[in-house]
Amino acid sequence: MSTLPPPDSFELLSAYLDGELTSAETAQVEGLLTNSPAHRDELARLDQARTWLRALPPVDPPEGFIEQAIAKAGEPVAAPKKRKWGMLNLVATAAVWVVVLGFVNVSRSHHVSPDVANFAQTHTEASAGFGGLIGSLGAGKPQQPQVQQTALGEPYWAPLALPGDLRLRSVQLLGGDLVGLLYASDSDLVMLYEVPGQVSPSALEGGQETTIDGSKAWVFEEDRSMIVVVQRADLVYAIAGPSDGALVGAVATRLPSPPSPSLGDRLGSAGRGLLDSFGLG
Amino acid sequence: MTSDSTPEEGTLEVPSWEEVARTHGRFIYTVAYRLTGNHDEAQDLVQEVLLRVRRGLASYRPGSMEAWLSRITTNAFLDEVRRKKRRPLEVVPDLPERVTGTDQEPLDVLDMSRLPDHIQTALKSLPVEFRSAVVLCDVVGLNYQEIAESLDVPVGTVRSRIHRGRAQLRAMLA
Repeated sequence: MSTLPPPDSFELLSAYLDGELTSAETAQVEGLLTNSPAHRDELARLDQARTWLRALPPVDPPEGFIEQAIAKAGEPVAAPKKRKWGMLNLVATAAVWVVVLGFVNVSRSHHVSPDVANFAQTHTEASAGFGGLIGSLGAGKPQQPQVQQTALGEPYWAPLALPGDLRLRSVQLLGGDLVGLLYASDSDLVMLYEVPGQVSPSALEGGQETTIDGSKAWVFEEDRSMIVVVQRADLVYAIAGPSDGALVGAVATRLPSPPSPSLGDRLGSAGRGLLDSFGLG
Repeated sequence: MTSDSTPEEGTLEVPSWEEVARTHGRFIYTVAYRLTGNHDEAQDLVQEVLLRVRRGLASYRPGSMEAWLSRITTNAFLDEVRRKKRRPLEVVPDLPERVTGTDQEPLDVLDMSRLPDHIQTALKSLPVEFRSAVVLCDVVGLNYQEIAESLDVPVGTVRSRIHRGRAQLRAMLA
């Protein structure tokens, strides 16, 4: 009785055509091709598709389009966006944010279980801190001394940059396990919060449920603000940003992978952390 | 398409974003058209890409300019797809779960003289995840590792998406 090859062996064929297999995998595929007509047929079909795709010609843009696009892209864009992120709007975002945080049901198994009131209080404090940074935005460079203003006295890993030219401006431990990150570019501001726990999907019915990089997520759009809540492993992320949803969506796809559900563990594994990055560790 | 501009270490001179647009405009447009499948959306996408190039050129590091541009173009395209998904009244591309390689209807009798059009039509009907991987591989010419970095997914996922994309496309053109 012959042994059927595993179904995913067909997936190796495209990579075989592209020279992207290890030597062991290459040997495996060549063995299959010797013994399996089905694999030989599939290889021929894939090779045909690959050949067609690679023969597609370049596409010329319409006459004059590139110059028009350059002119349009060169127009100043910062002023309207800065108006959008005035203090009033930040406060409005904060209000929405508190509502969303109220939906977060932190697991009782964690050693810190902040309740809604704590979220509201800590976010109010965070907003005040963030608001103090607004005037310094626009310089286009990270304000390194701001790290010293945070309550996070230990190294903590966070991406220094996110899509959309967003740079890390502030990291704050907002009480318990809630970490707040502020990212800003010359014209946009995005806040990212991380807390261990599990969201309660039934409490997030007002949001549009979706999936981001395989993680469950809920999107809330309020007036000119957008908030995305993402459940990734045992961590809940919430990203609040401008009405440019594409930017918030892009940030949501670049969330840090949760190294541990425990902030203590995360802090304990530091050494390559943010403060070190700034030479303050 | 990525062999044109890999500067030697230490000799990099970063051009202005306008120079990048003029030098690589046709390349960006080609990638945008292959991803979107129509000229109107390709033009919108190129416009967004130029804005991102303008903002992000300072972060460009020595390497293939076309790989960098294709990464920006693909991410801008996927951002737009995600934005549209949040607005149910707009046309939403097929999700992977709803499209398989075996239930695709073959295109009408294949006119070989119009093969590129047929391929583009089939390409556009692929799920965006497969389409992006296939375009980066077969149109742009990136290797799997570069595609994985561009799409922020594991190499194994790239391998699977390219295979399934080609298989579906071939089935549609059978």
